[in-house]
Amino acid sequence: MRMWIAGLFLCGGMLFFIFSLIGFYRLNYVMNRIHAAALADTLGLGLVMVGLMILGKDVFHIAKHLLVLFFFWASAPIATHLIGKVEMLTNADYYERVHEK
Amino acid sequence: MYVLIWLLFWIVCNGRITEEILLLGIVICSGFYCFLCRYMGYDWKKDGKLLQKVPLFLKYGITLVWEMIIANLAVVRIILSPDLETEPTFRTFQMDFKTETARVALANSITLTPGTYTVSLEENVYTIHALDRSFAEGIEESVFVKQLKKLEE
Repeated sequence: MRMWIAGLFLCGGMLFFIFSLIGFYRLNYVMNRIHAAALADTLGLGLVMVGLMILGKDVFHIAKHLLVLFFFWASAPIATHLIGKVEMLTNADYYERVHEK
Repeated sequence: MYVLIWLLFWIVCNGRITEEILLLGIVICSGFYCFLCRYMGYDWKKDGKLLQKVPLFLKYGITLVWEMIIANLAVVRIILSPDLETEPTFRTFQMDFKTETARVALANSITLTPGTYTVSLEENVYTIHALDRSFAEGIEESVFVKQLKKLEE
């Protein structure tokens, strides 16, 4: 039973990774692609980690997975922010920035 | 407060609890905390107050995860819609937080919810980019802002 619940969470996480990939190719402009990439970082990774936590053998396993999640969620926004800022500073084409999808 | 968190981290990284690990952990964490108090302006009286806010921090975490799930589903809906009906927008607004921690926490929370992310944060002025106009609306009165203001007091 535990295996099935964990599998469900893992498959859900993978589904979000797939959505992220689809979005990454459907959107064209970098600032919009970031939104699609964020899907995999947040709920995709979160669901996979919850699945692994359910499979975990003892409390320390679960705590370590929580730590992975915490550090990832604390550091991922910084990379996103930097990519966005670089694009904002280097791309002078206002029309592309606002109207491009 | 911080000593407890570090001790917990120490034990989790060790993977088991023995007397040796516990004693060594207490010594190292306390020594490190003394160093921070002496040279980096940490204060144990101020940190004692943080202990009372633990429930608020937990509440903030739960709100963050919940908002993240909602925003994820909204972005998935846009990505899977046949003709990508979105209207990417920039939005600039001002928030009057007292501490820098709260500012950064709000910027990171905005970035962590897909659909919106912070492009720049200068003093009190946020510039955010949203995948759709509906995501950017009402961001000044979002639950994050209310809870952060409560945390700041």
